[in-house]
Amino acid sequence: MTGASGSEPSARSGPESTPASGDIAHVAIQDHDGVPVAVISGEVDISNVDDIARQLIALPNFAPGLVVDLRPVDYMDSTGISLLHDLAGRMRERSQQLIVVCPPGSPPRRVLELTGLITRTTVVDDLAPAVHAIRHVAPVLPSS
Amino acid sequence: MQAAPDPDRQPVFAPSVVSPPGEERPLGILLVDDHKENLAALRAVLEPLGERLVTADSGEQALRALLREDIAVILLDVRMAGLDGLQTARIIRARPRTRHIPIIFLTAQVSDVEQITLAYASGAVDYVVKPFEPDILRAKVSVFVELSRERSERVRQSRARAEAEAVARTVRTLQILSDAALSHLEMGGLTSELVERAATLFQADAACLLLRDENAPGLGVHAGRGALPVPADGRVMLGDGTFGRLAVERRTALLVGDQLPLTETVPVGEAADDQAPIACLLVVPLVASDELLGLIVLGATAEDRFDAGDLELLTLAADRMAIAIDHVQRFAHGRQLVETLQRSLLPDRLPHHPRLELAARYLPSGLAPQIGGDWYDALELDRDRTAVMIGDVVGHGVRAATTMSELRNALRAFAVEGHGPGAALHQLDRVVHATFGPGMIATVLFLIIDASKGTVSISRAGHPPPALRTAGGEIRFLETGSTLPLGIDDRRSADEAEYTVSPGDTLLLFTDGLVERRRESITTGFDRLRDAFTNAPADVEELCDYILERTVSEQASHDDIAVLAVRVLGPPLGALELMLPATAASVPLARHRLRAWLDENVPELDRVARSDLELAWSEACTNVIRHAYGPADATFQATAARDDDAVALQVRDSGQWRPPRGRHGGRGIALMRELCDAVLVDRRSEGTTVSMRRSFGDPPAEGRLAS
Repeated sequence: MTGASGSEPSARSGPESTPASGDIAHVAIQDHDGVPVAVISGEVDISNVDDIARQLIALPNFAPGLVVDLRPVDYMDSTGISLLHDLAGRMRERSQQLIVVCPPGSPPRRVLELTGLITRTTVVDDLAPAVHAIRHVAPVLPSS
Repeated sequence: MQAAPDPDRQPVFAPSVVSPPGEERPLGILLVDDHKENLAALRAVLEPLGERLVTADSGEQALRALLREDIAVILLDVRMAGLDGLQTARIIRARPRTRHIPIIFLTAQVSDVEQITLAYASGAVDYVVKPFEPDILRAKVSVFVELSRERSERVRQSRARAEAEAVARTVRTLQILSDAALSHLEMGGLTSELVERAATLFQADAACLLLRDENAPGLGVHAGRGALPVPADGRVMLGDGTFGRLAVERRTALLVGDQLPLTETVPVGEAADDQAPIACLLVVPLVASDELLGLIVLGATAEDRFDAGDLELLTLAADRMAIAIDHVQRFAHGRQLVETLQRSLLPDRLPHHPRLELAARYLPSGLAPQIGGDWYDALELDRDRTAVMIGDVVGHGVRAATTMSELRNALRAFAVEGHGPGAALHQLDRVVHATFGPGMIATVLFLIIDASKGTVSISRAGHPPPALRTAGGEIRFLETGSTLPLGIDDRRSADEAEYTVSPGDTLLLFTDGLVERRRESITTGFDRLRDAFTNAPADVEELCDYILERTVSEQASHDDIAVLAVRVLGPPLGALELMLPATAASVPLARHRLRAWLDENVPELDRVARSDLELAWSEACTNVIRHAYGPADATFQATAARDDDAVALQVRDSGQWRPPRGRHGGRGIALMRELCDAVLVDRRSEGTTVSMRRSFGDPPAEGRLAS
């Protein structure tokens, strides 16, 4: 595997950034000190949820965990909830950690609350604590 | 100059009539002075005017004279013993009858003039200072006399006009009493209408109809107003008493004084309270086909209210009333029965469809107590399609009613089975041949309206075509889709025509009774209907009434009539309506359209409510795409409308829902319920409709977060 993500300290959005179907959502995979952060922006619904899922699942399996940053999400419905629910299940099976960044009052936060997913997933308000948590609870990466 | 008394004149101390009354009779001039020589002088001066001179030698006598005499002008001496002139004038002015009579005061004192001027600043008052100039006095008096003459001429003319009008009214009211419209009334309505009309015509204070009953002996009060001297139980035995004898002898009578019945008056209807005793009666027998039906009795509290002319007029009127009563009595019983039967065969209520307004009317035949063969029916076939039928079975009576009922039920069945109008009528024709055999002929019009597609398919079996009024007001008769009436040829083809209809269009279905009149071309009937339909109101209930009012003849219709109106409604004003392919890409599209629609139509909505509605709407659309359809192309409908202080969303598909499957399913409905105040899921074989409402204001999910 490249290890490129681990060698680059700063966040970047490059070839991983893919326009989702219908062009209403984007997923940008960033690296924050070896912690992959998937920044989702735009609107998540049935028209693009499968694309988004594919990009999230394609993460390297040696990563200690994943931060899904929903702060730039303007809209998310129950398809997004199902996506996060499934993702959390898959990662749990692999002993990887999923942390969702979603501040109170934002549109996806309301759906997380209404569907109860917020009680079954780790949801934090900001990115830094999420990255920090994964770096400290996760096992030492082979590359570092 | 002062005139001297003239001994040749009539006595001056008593009021007197100088000239005889007549059409052009002279007007009265009242001369009041307590000196007879002055009265004589006045007479001498005024005699040349040729009017009637009345004299009085005191104020009291003047007032008495005014009670008896018709006076045009008063000459009144101011200084008199007893009531002086000014006091007398005050009393004259206080009496309504004499208030308007001009007064010329006669006085020798300048101070009196001032007093008069002050007391009578306005009104017909003048004065003459003694000694008076005969010419001036004559001139003043003649001015008032002329004014008075003009006035009485006006009164006379208006009286003459009133009399002419009274005659015209009498003739009119006689016509009113034989009004054909009366024959459409039931017995109760007819008799009370006749009593009211007769009482008004003859200015009677009380009136009643005493009629024979099936179930009781003698005559009974059927309708009345006021109080009349009839027996206390309201029953008149034939041959007994004044009324009973008049009835048996079939005699008319004008009764006053000791001719009146001795019985106390008893109330026979409204307005009986405070009625003065009856002083005058008109009694006329009602006879039809040489059979006594009863009596009409009119009463007045004034003895001179009725005269021989009134009796003659009432006798004429009574003939017409008798015919009307006889007609209604004869048919009332039978008609009531058949009408009940007929109405039981028509639907109690018409189906309700959000995009259609339906109304119908049935009018029984006005002539015969027979059941008609007309019928109509309407039923909801599915969410979009409504079947509407109207028909006419040739013939009348119970047999026609039975046939009608069977046809109706058979047609309902064919419609529900899914046959189109043409096929359904073809099937129905076979039923007619198989069941009723030859000789049974019926016409039927059957149409199916698809409110969501905006189409109407029509098939007719010999029935008049439906009329279509477009939203623009244009009328046309949809003439295609017709074949022979049922019962003629059972190999009829399944003719059917399809038309498009738009919101605002109105269809009118009717039976031939609406357009056919005896001795008139049917084209005239269709033209009349076209005119009525053009101007009819939009509301279908009002429209039906309007059309019947404008097209049904004053004369009793010889046929029964059925009409049914269907109005096609558009989406609610300002609503959002989307028809989308059932693919995932439609969800964001629908959501973005809703977002724009909310911005424009519900700007006061807060941010949370807005995103909740978008979410609920997307969830509903997502469910359709996930669950409603197989892989084939399909569409679904999504609508949003503002409804007072709520937003109503609806998502409709026409698929069959599968049970939830896949990893992402199952959360949608639960989420919608959290986001909206009300969520209704209506699952039917033809598709599912999810309806949601969200009121403005606080987010409903606050405090009830799902765990």
